[in-house]
Amino acid sequence: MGKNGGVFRATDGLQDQFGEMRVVDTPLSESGIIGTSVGLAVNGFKPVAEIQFLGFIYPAYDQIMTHVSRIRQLSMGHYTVPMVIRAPYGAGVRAPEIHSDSVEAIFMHMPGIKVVCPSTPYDAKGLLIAAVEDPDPVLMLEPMKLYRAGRQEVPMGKYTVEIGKGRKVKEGSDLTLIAWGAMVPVVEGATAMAEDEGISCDIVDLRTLSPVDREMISRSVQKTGRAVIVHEAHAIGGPADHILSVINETSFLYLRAPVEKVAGFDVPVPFFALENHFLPTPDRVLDSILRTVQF
Amino acid sequence: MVLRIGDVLKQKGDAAVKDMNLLEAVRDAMRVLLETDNRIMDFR
Repeated sequence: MGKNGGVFRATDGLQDQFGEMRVVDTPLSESGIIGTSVGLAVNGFKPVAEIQFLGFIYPAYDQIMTHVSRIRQLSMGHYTVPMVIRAPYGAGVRAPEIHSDSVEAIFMHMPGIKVVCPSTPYDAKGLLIAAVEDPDPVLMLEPMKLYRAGRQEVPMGKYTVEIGKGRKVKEGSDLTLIAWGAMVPVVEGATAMAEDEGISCDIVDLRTLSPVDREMISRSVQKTGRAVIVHEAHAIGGPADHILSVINETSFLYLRAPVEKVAGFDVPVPFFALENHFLPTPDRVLDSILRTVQF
Repeated sequence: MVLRIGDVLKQKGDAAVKDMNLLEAVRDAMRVLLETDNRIMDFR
């Protein structure tokens, strides 16, 4: 995979440029990739491990949960694991089974590892550099559906996007839409339809899922009094449930309506013929917006 | 008027920007990282 630059060619040409000792081919063994990276990280290297699809990360769960996320605590700070795991994730590219999973909640539940997810080229570069510079492990989820979805001017030099800070995509006054990754364009589409109904939406792109930007969430919800959270992960125990608890803790007395979530259904992500029925759409988001505003 | 990132950088005197998609931005981040810190390794 080193020669090809990964399944999506994300690192195409880097092995030629930097050599096989820096851009390393590995066997297709996710547990081995993460385990080797842990050993390198605690010995002073900064490995960036790519899992070809987030759904393939399950064999490495043991390494991540029992070593990556807790060596700092186990060693009382003597050792840290400054590594990054990159993983394309999500549905919408008509991939076969297991390739389309959106299981960010599993890693949000894991203390000791940060989780970031860009929705724009600018944020992708800035978040990845920030993740590598972070002293602790970071999982970067890359929305496959957005890999080639649009272009943006990106600085050629080094810059960072701060981990833990969301991005205000749009200012609005009637309702807060909270999304990340490939769901950001979906809520933008719903917002355009809501404007035809005279509804003005504030859009928050979280960018970091662990830790979430509590300040941006609460400031927006306290302004609008209403919120809809949109993710393609399954509904039960999904990321929205944590965000709901943040809204409950910080902004309950400002709410004018129950907070709604629009999510993937609670079934394994279906084959490509049905995936458009599984994923949240602008129409489903608009239904939630209307229900919330009319409450 | 929408001010693009490139416009902001040009106002600051730095025109070194390039149109990229998200995949290319990830690759460019890895290029910058590999160039600037020889402890960084790419594993896959």
